[in-house]
Amino acid sequence: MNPKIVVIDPTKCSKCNDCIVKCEETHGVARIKKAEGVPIFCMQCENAPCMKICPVDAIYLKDNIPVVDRERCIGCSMCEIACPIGAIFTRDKVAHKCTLCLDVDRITPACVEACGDKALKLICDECLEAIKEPRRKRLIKILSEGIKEILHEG
Amino acid sequence: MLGRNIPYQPTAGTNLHHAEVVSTKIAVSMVKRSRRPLLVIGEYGGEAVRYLEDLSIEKIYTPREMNLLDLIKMVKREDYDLVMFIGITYYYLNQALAHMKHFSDTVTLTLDGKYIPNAHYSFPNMEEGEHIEAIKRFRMLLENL
Repeated sequence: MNPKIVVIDPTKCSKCNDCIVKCEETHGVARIKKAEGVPIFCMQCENAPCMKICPVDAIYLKDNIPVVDRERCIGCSMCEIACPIGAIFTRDKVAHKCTLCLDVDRITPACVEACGDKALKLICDECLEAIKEPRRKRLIKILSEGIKEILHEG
Repeated sequence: MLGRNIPYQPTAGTNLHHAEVVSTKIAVSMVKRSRRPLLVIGEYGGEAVRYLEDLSIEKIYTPREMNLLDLIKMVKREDYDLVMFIGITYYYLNQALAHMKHFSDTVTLTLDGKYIPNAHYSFPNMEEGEHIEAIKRFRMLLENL
């Protein structure tokens, strides 16, 4: 599991473009791409295919997040072909991908701060546990209620 | 996460821009990424504060060393990029954070065991024991940087 990723709740997204505008402001090029109006973020894969396929090793890990080294990148677009979700692209002979703003002087990703609808969330494995725990409890409650009903009927 | 980000005083969270709930891991990564963090310690931190007292982060004790309002003004003047708060009276801190949210670029993070909606980032509502565990973990991860 990655140390952290940006997740989006498409039902909350109002397609306002704030995240894309802020990303462009921060990095010069918007690193977020839209699909049917909803932004798609890099999943920061653990075994990143973009990193593996790069012929010049221009993609390296910084805090377990794949980051593009702009000096090394030759703009061959192999990473674009390898990426399963189309989150990396080449522009001006350099590959661009979301790095959770690790390569700029920011404390948290710009897009997460810019999102007014709170559709974007920065989460980590700890957060996932916190999300899963109440669901497990709910399941146990449903199951125990179901068993009680069956026993009562019997 | 149900009920984990409900403000202690519901009227304190009537605005649109509520705090983002963060885990200890994300809080630590924020401290790691900040250039000049500041830890503000109030007088109601309880046992949790003991684990933060010997951290190598710049600390200010309020109200012993500085009044909270003077501190907010000072933070706006200086170039702190991340300010963490712990152990300050809920509604007093919430008012101060509302000012920080609207009139400064500094990122605010609260380490209390309750959700504080006017911060940029806040820990969720937690039981006391859970909060102390979270602070212990925060400290341990910070030391391992």
